[in-house]
Formats: sequence, structure tokens, C-alpha cells
Amino acid sequence: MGSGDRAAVVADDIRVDRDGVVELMAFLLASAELCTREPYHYGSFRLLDGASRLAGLALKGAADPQRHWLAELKEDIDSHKALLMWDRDAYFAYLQEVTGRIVDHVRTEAVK
Amino acid sequence: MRPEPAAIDSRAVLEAIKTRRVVRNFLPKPLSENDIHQVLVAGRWAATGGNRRIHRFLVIRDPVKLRRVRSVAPGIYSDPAAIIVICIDHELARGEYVQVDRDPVVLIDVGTAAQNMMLAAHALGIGSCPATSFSRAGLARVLGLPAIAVPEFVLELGWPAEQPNLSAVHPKARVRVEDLTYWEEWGNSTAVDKQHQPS
Repeated sequence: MGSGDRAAVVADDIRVDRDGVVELMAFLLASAELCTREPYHYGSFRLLDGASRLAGLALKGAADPQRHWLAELKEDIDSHKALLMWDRDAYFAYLQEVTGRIVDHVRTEAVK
Repeated sequence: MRPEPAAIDSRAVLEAIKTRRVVRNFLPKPLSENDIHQVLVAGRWAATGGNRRIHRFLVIRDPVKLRRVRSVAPGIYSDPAAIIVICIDHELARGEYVQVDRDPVVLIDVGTAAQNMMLAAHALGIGSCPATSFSRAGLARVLGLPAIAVPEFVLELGWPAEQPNLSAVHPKARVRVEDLTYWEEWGNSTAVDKQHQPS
């Protein structure tokens, strides 16, 4: 890979954009600062949103088998994260559900 | 010249207030300088404590800058066409003998300007979203602000795209005015003239 290449191989089937990685780090650091003064539940929200942003970053350079589940995960998170402001119980239930979903994915990948 | 109250369409004003919603999805379509200028005019006419003018509005439309702003502003979820950053100018504040760290009015003034701008945007068909979840230090650095300028509020602006309707899936009881208001003494939800109505 040349020095001018803005992408770096992190796995054999996902490439991530270097600027995107820096932006995600900035998001995480800004979130860490915000967690010291915002309502407690916002910390959970930032982590969930961060997972969506990470999925989005990976999605840009993912090959087909990974692409599908990353897109699905991102869309799922984005359509549920605002539940925090509408229905807190549903939001808490969703956090358990989405964690279970990624564990299922990891198990499926492990048996391949 | 001040407009006469009779010349103001009160129904239109109240309708604008009641129908404004936070817009989180924007179309990839630019906002013109004129569109933004009208929003800024509304901010300029907001009530300010002591008629002091210690706030400054910084408009950002450059896509590269907007992307950098997003990275230090976790409260911005989508891609606005523009943002207006409301800053407190501490040098101006000192000149006005304002105690910025002790006087809540300076932040109230941020809110009145922001609300005026959101209503003006709504009236123009422009979507808006308030964002306060950002790193002040990070934002100041990204925008190259001088030390005297402290960013307190980011208003996202853009043409509204389709919005997710969470309230349809997860209905939430609407807060009524009565839930928020007491009359004459704390805890009394009934207006005096209703209490005095003959039975």
C-alpha cells in the first residue's frame, strides 16, 4: 500500500477509511467529555450511536458477505436509537436484543 | 417602525410554534445565503437581557468543515446543509460588565435566539435541529475560534427529508399546558377565573 493510500487493510474483507477512523476517535473522545455532564442514559446512547458509526465506517469498505449484516445492523440501530427519547423501556429492551443479535453473528462466523 | 399588533396574524404565529418539529434527516440540497440570512434576521430580533449584544452567529456551509464539526459533535446525527453556531463573545461581555460564569441570562439569550431561528426556519420550510451535545473545546478548535469566542449552541439547518415517525409506533402521552402550569401558587393547576366561575 502506498503512503498516499487513504485506506488501510484491517481484515481481509473489510477496509476502513483512515479519515473515518480519526473521525470516529474524535466522536468517542467528545462523547467521553459529554458523559461527564449529560444525563446518565446519554452515555448508553453514545455507545449505541458509536456502534452504528463504526458499522457505517466498516460498511464503506466491506465486501459482500460482511456488507449485508453491517448494513442491516446499522439500519437497525439507527431506527431504534431514538427510542431513548420516546419509550425508555423499549430502548432498554432493544439494547438487550441488539447485543444478542451480534453474539449470534459472532457464533455463526465462528462455525464457518 | 414597530408593526401594530392587529397587523400580526396571531393564528399563523401560533400555528408555526405548534407545528415546528426537530428535523434530523436532511436532503442533500444546499441552502442559499438568502435562506440563511432570513433565519439570522430572526435570531437578531430575539429578546436579549439588557439589550446587550454579546452573542455572535457563525454560519458554516463548507462540507469539509461540517464533516469535522460532526466528528466533535455527537449530538449531530445527520448531514445538515449548514449550521449556525451561537457563540458568546467574552470580550464583548467584559465590555458590558457581564459576569458570564454567574449570569444565566447569557445562556437564556442563546435560547431565545435559537428558538426564533428555528421558528423562522420552519416558516420558510427549512428543517432545523438544535444540538448542544458537542465538545466546546473540540468545536472551537475545528472552527479556529479565538479564545474569546465560546460556542454554546449549534443549530442544524437543511431541507427536510422524510422523518421517522416514532410517535406512531411508540405513542407517548402528550404533555398538556395544564401539566406544566400552576396558577397563583405552586401546585394549583386551576386558573383563578375558573375557580370563581359560578357553579
